[in-house]
Amino acid sequence: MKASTIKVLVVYWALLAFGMALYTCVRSEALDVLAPVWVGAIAGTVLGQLLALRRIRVWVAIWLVLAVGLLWISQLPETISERTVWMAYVPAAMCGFWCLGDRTSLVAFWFPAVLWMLTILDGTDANAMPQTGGLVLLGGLAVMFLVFLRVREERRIALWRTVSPSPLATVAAPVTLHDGAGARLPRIAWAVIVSALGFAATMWLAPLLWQTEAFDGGAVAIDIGDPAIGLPCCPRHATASTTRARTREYLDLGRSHEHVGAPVIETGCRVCLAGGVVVGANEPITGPGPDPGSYEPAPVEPGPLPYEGGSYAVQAGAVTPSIVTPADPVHHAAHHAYEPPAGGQAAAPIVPAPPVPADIPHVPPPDVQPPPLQPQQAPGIIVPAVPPPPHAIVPPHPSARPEVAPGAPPTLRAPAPATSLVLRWAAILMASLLMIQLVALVLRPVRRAIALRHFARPFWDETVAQRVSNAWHLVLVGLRDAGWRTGADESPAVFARRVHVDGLERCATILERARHGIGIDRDDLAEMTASAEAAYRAARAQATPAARAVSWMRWPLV
Amino acid sequence: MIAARTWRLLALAAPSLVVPLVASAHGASRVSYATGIALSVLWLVVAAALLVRFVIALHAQFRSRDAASPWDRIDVLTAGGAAMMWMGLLALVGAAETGWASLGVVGVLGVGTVSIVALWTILVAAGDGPWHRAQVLRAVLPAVATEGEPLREEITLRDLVIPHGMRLFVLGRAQRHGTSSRYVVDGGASGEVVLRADLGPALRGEHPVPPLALWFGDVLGLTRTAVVHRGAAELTVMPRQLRVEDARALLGAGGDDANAKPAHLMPTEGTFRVRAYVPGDDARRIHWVRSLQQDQLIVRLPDELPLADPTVRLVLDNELAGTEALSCRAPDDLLDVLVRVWLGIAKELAAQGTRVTLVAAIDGRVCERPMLPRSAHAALRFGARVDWQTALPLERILADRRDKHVIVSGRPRRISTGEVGWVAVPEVAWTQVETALSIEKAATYSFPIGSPENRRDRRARERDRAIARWQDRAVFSQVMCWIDWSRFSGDYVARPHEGHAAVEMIP
Repeated sequence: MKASTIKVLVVYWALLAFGMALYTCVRSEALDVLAPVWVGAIAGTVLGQLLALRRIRVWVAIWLVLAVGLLWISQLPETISERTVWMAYVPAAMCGFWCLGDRTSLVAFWFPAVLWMLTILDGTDANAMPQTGGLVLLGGLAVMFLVFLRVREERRIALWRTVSPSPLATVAAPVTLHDGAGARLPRIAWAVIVSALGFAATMWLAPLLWQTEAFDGGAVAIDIGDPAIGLPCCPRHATASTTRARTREYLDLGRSHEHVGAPVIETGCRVCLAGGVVVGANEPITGPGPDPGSYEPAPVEPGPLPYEGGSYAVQAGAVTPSIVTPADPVHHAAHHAYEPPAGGQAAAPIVPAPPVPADIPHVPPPDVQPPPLQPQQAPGIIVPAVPPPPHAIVPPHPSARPEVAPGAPPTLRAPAPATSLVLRWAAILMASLLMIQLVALVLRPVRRAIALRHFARPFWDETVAQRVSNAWHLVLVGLRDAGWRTGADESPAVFARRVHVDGLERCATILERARHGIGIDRDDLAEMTASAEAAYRAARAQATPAARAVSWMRWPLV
Repeated sequence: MIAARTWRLLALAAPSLVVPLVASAHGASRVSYATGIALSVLWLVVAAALLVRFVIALHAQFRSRDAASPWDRIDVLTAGGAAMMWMGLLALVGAAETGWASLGVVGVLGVGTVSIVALWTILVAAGDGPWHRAQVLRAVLPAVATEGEPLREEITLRDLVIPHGMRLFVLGRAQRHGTSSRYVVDGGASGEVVLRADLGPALRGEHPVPPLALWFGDVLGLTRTAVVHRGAAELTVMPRQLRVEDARALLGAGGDDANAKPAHLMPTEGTFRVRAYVPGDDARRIHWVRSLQQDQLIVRLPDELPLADPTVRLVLDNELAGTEALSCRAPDDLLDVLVRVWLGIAKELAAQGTRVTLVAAIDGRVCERPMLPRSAHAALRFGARVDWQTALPLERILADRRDKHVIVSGRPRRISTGEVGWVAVPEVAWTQVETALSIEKAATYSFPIGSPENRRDRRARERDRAIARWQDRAVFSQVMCWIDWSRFSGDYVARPHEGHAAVEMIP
């Protein structure tokens, strides 16, 4: 039972350690944020499992967890957020306690799942759809869940066999005397199928249950994505409101992903005319032109320009308009991530991020006139439009609202590629291990062939007794291919009578003579070798072709 | 109060139905659509499989009353599986309420895994298919054992196909108060597997060993199949021989052939046997008339008291009602001791030349067997068959017999049949008290955490069982200890003495 208990603990700690290590790699710049969580998680898990091993009742365990928490968490330095430590410590302790409990597999699995979800959600966009790395991790989590269930079941069986209020018999390990060859293959296939089903169900259904929470991210300047728009006509840039969204999770550590709303035409640009027509107002104008910059900006009547999802640029060009194509009305800025600051300070007013032009290196600096003080008196200058409020902002959950450091705008940056980097290394490691296993698997037939050859005709001189033993091993290998096994206390003669294979009884007789020290002469050795080879062939003939094929992969041979 | 099985059956069906409702109630249309479709399909498949299994089991039950109940057939979730299903449902509801992604993942994992494994179990393992060709051979060795000898059990499973992803669980108890044996066999075996266990000391009696309980459980511990009973056997355990000291005291003033007791009479008194004079004989014993008649000196031999009673019927009093209903071990222990003392006295007397007849009521008949000094084995077999009975009262066993009767009994009592001798075997001296009630500690569990034995219902059941044992023991003691010893003054009592039994006269 101890071994099975250790197995459960090892798997549970592996789950925790991998979840923590992965997220630490992803958020390596925010160790001060993660440290309280990890401290709480490790301390809680250790305490919970100690209480479980001491057979403490659950209500006593809850009180002890709280009491111990009150003792040590209050001693932590002020730089560590006590609230965060508590949030990690209490569930870690209880899940650690329940990882050895009865009928508590799912509850116990929740806290490790929370740690894994931090990494998975970090690569999940604002629509709550995880990226490839996240999906792989989600599948890995499903597989680990099955592994966790399996080791827990092994422990339950060990308890069932050894723990009872009434006396129990001492049971020996089952002895298989004959089994179907290749029985392991369907067993492995079953495990793979169940894992795959769990993997698929989790990857498909679980993200659909996730809910996002959004925050006002301020306004950012975005490129409208029209490289052939020419200069210096507007719109080259637009202003768009942004919302930041992330998937809700218990631990308030997740970074949000920015979602840029509908663009609003930039202020201060000029409308360009092509032959007295506002270029690009309603439809794209295409055609060759001698010089995209040869247009003449012309004043137009001020007024709102339609924006219906296409390019809202007013393209100029008297004769040769530039290529203008409708653009997607909603642009997503380059992948931004919101990083909440550490600590539990009150939420500060959200400061709009300064406009950052993105991905327009090929566009020369526009000649944009400054906005006039009185737009009504300056025809041709577009009245600055007021950015519409971000639509459909879901009010964040009070407990999950990320906090913004006062006086400083939230840091917008692309998510660290650590997730994919870690996953890539993990994949390389897995592939290496798989390759080693594959090589070992491929080498098995070679090992078997060499061993069988040595059993039949030794590569070097051996004693007669050893050669008799080798021949018997050859027979045992053939019988094992056919599914026959010898019992620990079964003599060769009894085994031969049970199995009924040609030549086996003669082999058993000679072997027993050798074991009992009765002299073996040259004829006996020759007969033993011949009988062994005959028995080997006869035994393998009983096996199915598939079993014979699989037997070449078996190691150890007997 | 809903039964546990109802909860398990509900757990199989309810979460798959409730989750779409919960999801749609929270306005998550894509959740309700996708999840609802998936879970509805899963639920339909599971329900259809359950229905088919139920109908097949119902049909089988109509054909044979020994067949498993249809409800047992479809009750495939273990306690752990049902708990996971309900926890998964709670997690999904919690995910809808709080929006925590981890709860959604855990809920999907829980409900999905249990549903998939349950479907597999219903389709592959829940029927009779795996058992059709299976042979379960069971032997309790040695087949004829002696009381106290270590027993071992050997179970051979042949041609039993354990479905993939499943394990075989085997549970058996060879003797009523013996140990339980619990085996687990991993899946995949379809040939021959041997299971062995040491059952501990053998308990006297002819035991019809009840069949083993076998079932499959999946490797994740979420589902199981209905129990199948196979492998009944028989076991004979002969009583252990007990040396009884001073058994000859039961014969009264007589002795045996080697130790004749001379009468204290004058040399000229009494009836005489005669023989030829040999030097050294007392001259006063010369029978002169006979000497003249035979022309040689003839002497009279002194009279002796008769030899030990030529025949002793040693009767075992095994009449006691209601022992089957008693859950304590004391009745069986006392009967074992009675048999041991009974056979020990018989052996002791027979060794001294007394013709002893063993008498006991077995299977509603009075059975007698002579105790011969060199055929103890037959007597031991006879003793192995003895059990408590009510069919024949003690008077009927003794009726119409003029032989000397010695009754070995745990509760000597007045009977209408003439003079008999009693050997009382006091229950208090020969039986052990029941194991103490386990004290539940307030802060710790009695068993390692994770053991189902810690569950409140099981603890309550075990506590009730222990209390019942103690109460039964008290009742049994009241029945057996109600002896008016003063009425049996001059009879005998058998007490344990240094591993043997000593027969002493009741003062």
